[in-house]
Amino acid sequence: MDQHHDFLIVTDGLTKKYNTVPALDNLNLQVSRGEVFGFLGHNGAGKTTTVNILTSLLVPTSGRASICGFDVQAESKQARGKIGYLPENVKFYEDLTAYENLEFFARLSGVKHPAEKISKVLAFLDFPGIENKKLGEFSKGMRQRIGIAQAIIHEPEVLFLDEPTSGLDPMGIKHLREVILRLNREKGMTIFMNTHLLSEVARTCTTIGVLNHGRLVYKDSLENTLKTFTDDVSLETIYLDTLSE
Amino acid sequence: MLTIAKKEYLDSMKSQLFLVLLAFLLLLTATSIVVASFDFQNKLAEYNQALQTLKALGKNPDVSAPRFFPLKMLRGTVNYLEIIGAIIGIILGYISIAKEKGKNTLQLLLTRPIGRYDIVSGKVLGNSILIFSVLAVTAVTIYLIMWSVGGVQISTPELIKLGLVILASHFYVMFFFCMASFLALKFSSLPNALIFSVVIWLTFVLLIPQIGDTMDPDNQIPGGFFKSMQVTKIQEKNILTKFQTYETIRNALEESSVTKHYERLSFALLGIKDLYNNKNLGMIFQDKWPDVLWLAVFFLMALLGEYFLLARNARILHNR
Amino acid sequence: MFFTIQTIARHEFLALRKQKTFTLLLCVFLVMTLFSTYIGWSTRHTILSIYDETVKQMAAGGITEIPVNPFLAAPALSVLKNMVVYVLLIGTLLSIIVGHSAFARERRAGVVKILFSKPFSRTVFVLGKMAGILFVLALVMAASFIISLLSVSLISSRLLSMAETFRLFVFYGVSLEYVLGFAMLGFLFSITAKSESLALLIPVMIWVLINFVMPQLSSALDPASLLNPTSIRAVLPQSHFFTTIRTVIAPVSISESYKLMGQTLLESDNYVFPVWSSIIFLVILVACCVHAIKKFNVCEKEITE
Repeated sequence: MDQHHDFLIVTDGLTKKYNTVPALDNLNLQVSRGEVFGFLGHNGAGKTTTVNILTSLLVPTSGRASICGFDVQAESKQARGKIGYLPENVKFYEDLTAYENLEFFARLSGVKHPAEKISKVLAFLDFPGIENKKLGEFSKGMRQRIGIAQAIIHEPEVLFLDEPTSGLDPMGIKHLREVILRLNREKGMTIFMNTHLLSEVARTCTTIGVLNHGRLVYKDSLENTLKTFTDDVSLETIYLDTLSE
Repeated sequence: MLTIAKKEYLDSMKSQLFLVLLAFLLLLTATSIVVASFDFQNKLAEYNQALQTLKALGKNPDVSAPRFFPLKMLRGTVNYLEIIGAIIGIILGYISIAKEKGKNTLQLLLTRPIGRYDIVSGKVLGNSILIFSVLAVTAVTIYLIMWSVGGVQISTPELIKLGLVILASHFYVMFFFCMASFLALKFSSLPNALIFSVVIWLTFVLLIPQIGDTMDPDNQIPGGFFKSMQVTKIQEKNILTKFQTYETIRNALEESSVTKHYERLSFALLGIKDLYNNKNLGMIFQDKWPDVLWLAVFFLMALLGEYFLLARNARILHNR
Repeated sequence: MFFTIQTIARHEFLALRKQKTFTLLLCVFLVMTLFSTYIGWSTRHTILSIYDETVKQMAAGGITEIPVNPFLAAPALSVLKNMVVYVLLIGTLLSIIVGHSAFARERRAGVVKILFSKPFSRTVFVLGKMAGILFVLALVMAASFIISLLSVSLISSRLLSMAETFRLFVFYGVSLEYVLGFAMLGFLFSITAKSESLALLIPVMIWVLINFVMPQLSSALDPASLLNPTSIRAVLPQSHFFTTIRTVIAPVSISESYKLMGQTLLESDNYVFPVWSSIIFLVILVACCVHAIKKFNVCEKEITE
């Protein structure tokens, strides 16, 4: 484990099959502390499966994965203690208020005094005065913010975001981008983001990985990526190039 | 509408619902029949023993032997349908709506060029087919077993009666189906809808007959009140004439329960009430048409209630 | 661990309260209790008037040896005898619904993914849910206990003695244990069954087997008469077939041991603590819990959907 000390997320030959159809094929990946990792790939490439395994929601068919040195299977509880997770199309208890929803998830994450944390996190997200509104009345964008709030309320080391921009309007996307950068810079959170929006990757991520049919076909820092390929080539071209290889 | 009905039916086939329900109903029916036939043998043995004792005492008793009527064996089954058939109807009705709420599938359905009525009609029809086929397959299986193992011959009029009982059972169960899906549509909280349905079930099946029973002294003391008082039949009649109002109230209460109407009709058809044993259909219907009517009225009320709800609130099937 | 259990339990209670399910349950139980005392009272009233009339006619007929009213000797708590059947049938059915909805709600709300990415074990989740359900059902039972205490006092126009109150308390305690088993059953299948229909149907089928099929096999009573509380004291058929079945299923026929327990506590003169039935119910409850923890699979299908 020691040589992995700098790596908060490590996967080793991770494979997941659904009825013999491989969704994820021998994935070897390291994400080090402080990175914003953009995980790219077409729909069905296996990005969500990866996140599901890393959050201990799914059991891999073979291979191992660890978060902050804790094996996601054998030490799943400790591993889950280190993470925050925002699933795609996040949903909540609609008949409970924002406060009640957040309080519940905060306590489940081990926060002993949720009240102050909730007001802090809502202030951080620039989202005050909604504590007593029912989630059923919330728009998609508002729900997404509550989703982030529940994911970061316990100040995890690693934050998993699964297609966080899907369904958001441009304002929402801009706000989300700012939040991600601030979480990374101010709180030092390592962020693992599934996405297929290349423009977002270019603006927020420090490293990118590309998954194609369950296989990791490319991984490098954004800086290197942009260096390797000549300046006027867009990220889109790089992405499409990688996939066609 | 037919597409939805078909989907509903195929869904239930795929989830093995059909097989599970069928196996369950067969189990219940088999239990009742086995118990009833052993009970009959028991009574026959007791009768023969009593006859021997009396003969040994030199008396010639005037009690006829218990007679065997195959359809009478189905009393327990009718009882089960009354109680459990209704619950199964409730659960199916509840699920038919519950599985759509909270998912966005209904919205997809609603964008198609089909009316919202078609969705409900399709669900009612699909489940109607499911329930009817479960009932019919059960009946046929029972008949085959009785015929091949027990060697019991059932005459054609009796078969027709059996068919009519199945039809009545079907509408009885469908009443509960429609009622439960009506409530599931109406309430935003699904568990509450289910609890309400169960309360209605409880009122019809348990409470109303029970209030009636409290006015019947013989139902309250095991073995019967009058027996424990050592009162003769004639005296009993005399006493009870003073309590006519009880009987009236009791009857009125029973009238308000769909379960009682179903029970009266089926018991008459199956000859479980001795009065109707071996009577032809015309005579039974002459007596029992109000029960047929009530059963139909209850069913239609629940079904129309559902349509009415949809007509008043077009967005009821949408999510928030 | 205790903190998380408490959180999950509190949340369960909050959700039931918000959806007004709790209020509804409370109402149903209270109406049931009142109804049971009403029926007890109404029966007594009927029997007493018919008894008086019978005595009059017998006296007119010159009969001097008049039997004692079979109802007079009944203990005060016996007006509640319907409660036995109500808890047995309705209490358990409602508990199945409560148990079922405890997980169906999470599923419908779509929070399963967030929920199980949090750092707690499945054991804690099951225990937390159970604690929440226990709390809700205990409140309902407590309310029913108080109402029945008051109404029985009112009907017999005296305060119940300590001994009677204690009996009633034990009755509600064991009843709570009994219905809790069914709640766990509902919960168990809501996390393991393949489809939502089966999740609800299977526990209800077990409920039918326990409440109707087993008693029918041992007593030859048809299902409708099993709804009548007097059936508890019905004469059992003595043939070989029925006695054999009785011996075989007696240990597992929990509805019959519950009935016997209720009858002993409410209707008999000498008090016996229902050790046997309370142990059986506890064993079943624990078995359901353990099974739920073991079998727990937030199935792959659900996560990947």
